[in-house]
Amino acid sequence: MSQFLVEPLAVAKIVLHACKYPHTAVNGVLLAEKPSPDSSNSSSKPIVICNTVPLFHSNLNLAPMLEAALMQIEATYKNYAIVGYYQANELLNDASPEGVGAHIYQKIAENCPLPRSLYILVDNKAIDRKCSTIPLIYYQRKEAGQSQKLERLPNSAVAIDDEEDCLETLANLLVRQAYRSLVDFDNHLDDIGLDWTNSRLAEQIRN
Amino acid sequence: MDLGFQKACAELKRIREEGVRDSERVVDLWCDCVSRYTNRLGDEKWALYEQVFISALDCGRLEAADACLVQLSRQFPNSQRIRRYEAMRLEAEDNLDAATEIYKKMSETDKLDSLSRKRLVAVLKARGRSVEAIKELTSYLKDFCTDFEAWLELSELYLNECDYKKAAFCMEELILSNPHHHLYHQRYAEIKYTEGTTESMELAKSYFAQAVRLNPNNMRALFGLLLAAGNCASSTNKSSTSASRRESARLAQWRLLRLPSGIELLDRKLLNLLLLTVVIVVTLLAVM
Repeated sequence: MSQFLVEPLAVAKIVLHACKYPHTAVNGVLLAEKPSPDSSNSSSKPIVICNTVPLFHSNLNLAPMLEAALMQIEATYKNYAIVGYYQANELLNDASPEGVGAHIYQKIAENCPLPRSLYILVDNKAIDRKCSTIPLIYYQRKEAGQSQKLERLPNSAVAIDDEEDCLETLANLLVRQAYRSLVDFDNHLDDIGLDWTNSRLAEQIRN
Repeated sequence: MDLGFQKACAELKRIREEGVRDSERVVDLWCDCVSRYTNRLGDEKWALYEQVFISALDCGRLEAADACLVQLSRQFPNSQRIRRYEAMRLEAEDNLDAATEIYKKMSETDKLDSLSRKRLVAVLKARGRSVEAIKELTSYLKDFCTDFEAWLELSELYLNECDYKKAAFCMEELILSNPHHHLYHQRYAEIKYTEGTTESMELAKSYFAQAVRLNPNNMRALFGLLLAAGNCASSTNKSSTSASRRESARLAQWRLLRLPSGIELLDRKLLNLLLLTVVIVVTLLAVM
């Protein structure tokens, strides 16, 4: 049984964000629905990652805008919890999850209300227009409290909801250059009228 | 996209002048429209060939890049600039050793060739060798200390290594050279904020305030001022007097009230955040 189920909207937003800024590192957070207080806290059911919020494409190591973004996300998505972090590295050959991204993920994992949290690293080399595979690599922090190390999760631990359909949608989005209309938090700070929740793009992806 | 030739040229010119990195758009406009009518372009054509060449390398569209390079080499044979473009073409193919050779020869032949030295730094960065890139860029800046682009790049390299003090030093050089540029103050404040000590938080607050004074529409500076003032207000460090904490709290509240003056730009979600923050600040004040 997989530990996580990632919905196509989340996969699409991550890949589109990476494609919009191929020359820099990008990052964002993963959202899942908060469990209702009366439901049994069963850690055997997969956590459903239904959405993501693309955050920054420049200066990922600076704290103030990250704090502002996380506060906004918590205020906007009241029924959702931040359960993870994603990052696409700047260099094509860089497949390391370590660095600032790992620190941010550790903080997110410490404050996550759900039993598990996920770190998604975009596999830069695997992104192509044909979309034959999901270009994502998964990590999780080791259970030992003191350790800062991340361990790689096998692909079986993370399922993609309706993978075939997801890949086809992704291929269509890339051909149409849908990433040009994606808005991350950096874009929102440059022009406050832009919608960082990307509700229009989400509708396009769902249809 | 069926843009008229005139509109396409105008858009390419705008992208060139603003220095925006929109390589895919440039190459698409070139291939769909402009490349067929280069005889109509006049002298602007060489600047356009350069722009398309670099954008095509950026997107990996090497055939388009080669077509431009051929035209440029014919027009400007034996040019150092074209030689550098040939080296960049090698970089795009991931042939970094050959590219490095060319740049090293060029910078040894001409000591004033700053662009080749900067490309050497770019190659080191592409190889992932940040420490060597920093060393190379530092030695470049000893010779060309007024190159602001290089100071900014050095600051980013230091940030990637989490060396906040040195990144802040680079921003200080930029602020000294251009004290009215709000973005430098804002970036310096962000670095100080990230350092996290009480003194650096106070500094961050001041520099965010200065950035806001220089450009009241700088959202990052406004947010930063709000957060920094809030952090200073809640600081329990004995060295900060209660008077300075009260002043910081008042500053945070003032900022909150000022933010809605740009109300036509804000959406309801931001107002929710502001209300949440007001509650936090008021609670902090009550606790003191």
